[in-house]
Amino acid sequence: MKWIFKLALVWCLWIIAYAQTEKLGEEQKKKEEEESIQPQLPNWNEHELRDLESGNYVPGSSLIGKLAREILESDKVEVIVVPSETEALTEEVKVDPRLIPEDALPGYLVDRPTVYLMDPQKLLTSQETTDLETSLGFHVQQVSIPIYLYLFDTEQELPEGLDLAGLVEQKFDPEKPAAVVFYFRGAPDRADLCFTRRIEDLASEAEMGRVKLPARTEAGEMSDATSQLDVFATQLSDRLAVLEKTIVEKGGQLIPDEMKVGDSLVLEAEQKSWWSSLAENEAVFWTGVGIGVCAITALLGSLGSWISSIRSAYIFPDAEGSTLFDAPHAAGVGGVLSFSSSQTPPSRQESDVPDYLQRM
Amino acid sequence: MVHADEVFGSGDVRVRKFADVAGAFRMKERESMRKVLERFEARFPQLFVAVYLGAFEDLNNLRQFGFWMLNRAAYEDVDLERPNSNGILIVVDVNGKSASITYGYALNPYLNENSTFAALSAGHPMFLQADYLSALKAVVRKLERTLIKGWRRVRRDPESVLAKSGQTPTKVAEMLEGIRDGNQTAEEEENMREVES
Repeated sequence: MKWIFKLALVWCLWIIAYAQTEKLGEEQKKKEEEESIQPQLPNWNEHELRDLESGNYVPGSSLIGKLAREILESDKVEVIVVPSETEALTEEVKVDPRLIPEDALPGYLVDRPTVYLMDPQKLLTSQETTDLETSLGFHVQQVSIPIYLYLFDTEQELPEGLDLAGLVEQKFDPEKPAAVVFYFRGAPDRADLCFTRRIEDLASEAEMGRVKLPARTEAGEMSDATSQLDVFATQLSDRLAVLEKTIVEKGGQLIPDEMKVGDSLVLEAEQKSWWSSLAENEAVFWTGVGIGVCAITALLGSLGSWISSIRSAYIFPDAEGSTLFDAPHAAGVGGVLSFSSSQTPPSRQESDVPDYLQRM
Repeated sequence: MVHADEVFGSGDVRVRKFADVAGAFRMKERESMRKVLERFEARFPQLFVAVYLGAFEDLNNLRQFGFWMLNRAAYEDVDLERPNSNGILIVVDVNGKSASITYGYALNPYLNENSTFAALSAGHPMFLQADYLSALKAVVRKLERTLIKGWRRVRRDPESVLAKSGQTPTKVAEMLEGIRDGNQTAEEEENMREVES
């Protein structure tokens, strides 16, 4: 039995060590690759080294030019005036706040999104993202109309080809209920909302309008961007609950019989985040795998050992010896135990044997 | 043995391996006890355990009774491959509130006074409450564990383990050679028949 646990322990340690070695090996490899890409450092030639030591050579002087060298060597303090053309160049480099980075655009154009928050520009902190995702996930558990929130920066403007109505039409299932929001962080009054066709068929324009406006207004009353987004999402959720109630009271069916949109999405999103967070951390993942394998091995080993111990038969070697006291079969001097009183436990009887129990 | 025969009789006694002469067991408990003994025999194909529960009026020496019983008993329900020298007898005196263990010669290398006393001690709390089934189960379990330890010891070094109790391993090959000395093969036997006819 002990050897099974020892084996399981050794196996576990081996897997952990292997995972660590693999990780270290990959890091080493990456480092080597980076080093091979970098150019080799230049060497001093003897002439330059002599000049450097004597003070005649200023490193980098060839780059800053002869004029700069003269200024450096002189004791005069002069104000360097940057030419207006150069200043204009630096201004041009500044990013236009109205533009959405091109690399972020595909993040907004996902087909049939499986998460409720689309923030490919990472405008929110990780904590804000988690809070908002939790809030939107909770909303789906309560209300049948999920909110898909696309987040943009305050001044950003939508490029050509990205409009709310078109996005809803192309990327969302028209038969499923959904409220799609374009929200501009720090500018709730710019937020726009669009519903899928299923909602449009079941609710009037006025009823849909009553969802968007209060959310905008309430959020606008907040001073900071985070609170604004929080209030906007809360208000939107409340108004959508009212809208759902209105539709149901009118006899409309929000969710087709064959699908349960919210539950499946929430589950999918939760599973994804749990698995991705686990898979991202290799050490944790491999340790978990190792422990799991060891646990299963130990369990199976114990089970096997238990079954084999029950089913196994113990055969003793045949032996021959002489008899004692003319007894044909047995002369074994076995133990004798008295249980007449609980005051005389076996430990006392070992040395204190009553007369009638004495050895022959 | 002579002295024991004088006390208890010199004739063999026919008895079953589980004998509840004292009537301490209920019907269901007897069945359960038999299963315990069968399980022991399945695990140790050469050995058996016998249990004798008696209500003795004036038994002076329980150990002596066990010694006599194992030597004189002819167990009806124990197969011939398990002689009494391979047996362990547990005797319980229900009146005298005591129990003893006696074992055959074959078990000398694996059991002794201390280990059998320890086995009986395992059942002491249940013996005190007159729960004889549980007590005997505990005793048999402890005996099994002791025997398994002995089996491991003898498997590693049979000669020295057996020698400690004055025994030597039986040389099976030599025995078989002796038995087969006069044997003939089937072909030779057929040839002989043809010649005779």
